Amino acid sequence: MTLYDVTLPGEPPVAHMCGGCEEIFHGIFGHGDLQKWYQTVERRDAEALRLYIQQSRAHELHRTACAFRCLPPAVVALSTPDQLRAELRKVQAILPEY
Amino acid sequence: MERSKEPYIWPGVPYPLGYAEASAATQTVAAPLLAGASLTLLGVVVVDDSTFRWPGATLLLVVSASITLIASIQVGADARRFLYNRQTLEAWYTEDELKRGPRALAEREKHFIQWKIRNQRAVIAFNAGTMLLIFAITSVLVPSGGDLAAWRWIATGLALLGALGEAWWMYHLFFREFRKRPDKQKSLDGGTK
Repeated sequence: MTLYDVTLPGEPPVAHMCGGCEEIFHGIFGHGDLQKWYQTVERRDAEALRLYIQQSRAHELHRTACAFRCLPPAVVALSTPDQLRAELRKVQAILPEY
Repeated sequence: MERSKEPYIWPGVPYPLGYAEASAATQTVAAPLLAGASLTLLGVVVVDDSTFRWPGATLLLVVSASITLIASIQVGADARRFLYNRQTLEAWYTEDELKRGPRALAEREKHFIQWKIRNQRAVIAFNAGTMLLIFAITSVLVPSGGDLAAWRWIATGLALLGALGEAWWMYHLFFREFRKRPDKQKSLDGGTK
């Protein structure tokens, strides 16, 4: 598929990779997506955060044992390793199951 | 529950590893050629608009294609500034300097994300420009009468087919689902333990 992606007409979009489990995913994400995530985390509402993670389909993106399986695609795509760790710690403080 | 150690994070790299090179080739070779072709077509339509069925709409499409393709070149060049690898850092800094942690080293991951965001825009511009150019060519081919009308209609149909194929492929590239692979539920060690 990758070979066709490069050789057939139409330039393929940038692929993103989870730094924890190396799963590849595609999507166009912007700072708006990150802001929504930050706002949800800042509310410290466990149910809202759980719902956000579920709706972002984070579990479909990561492997089951990935430490960052709670982080949505936009956060994984647009965060540096340090930011990823920081976001994980924030989630762990609200949702102990992660 | 106390967590003893931080999870390991792989550094950000383009995927596949040749993607950045392929993308740069598209933006520095294909895009300028197509932009040049668009501008040539623009000249043809401006000089003699009597042989085209819709000269006004054709001009609009050609100009839009040219602008979008030139934008993809510029945005792509802007994005390329933010992509560099370890070899680039080693070329600019000595080993001792790298150990001291220069700013470029600290910002590498941040710059990689910048490259992803900006290159994505260049990709969108390139694909939009290509589509506009195909539509412009289709519009040029639509006959306004004359002896070659039948042939030009056939050529128009072929161009439209090409446009449909290109549009389908772009849709496939941009809106595909997360890959659902059988090993999705395996643990990180590949399920060997």
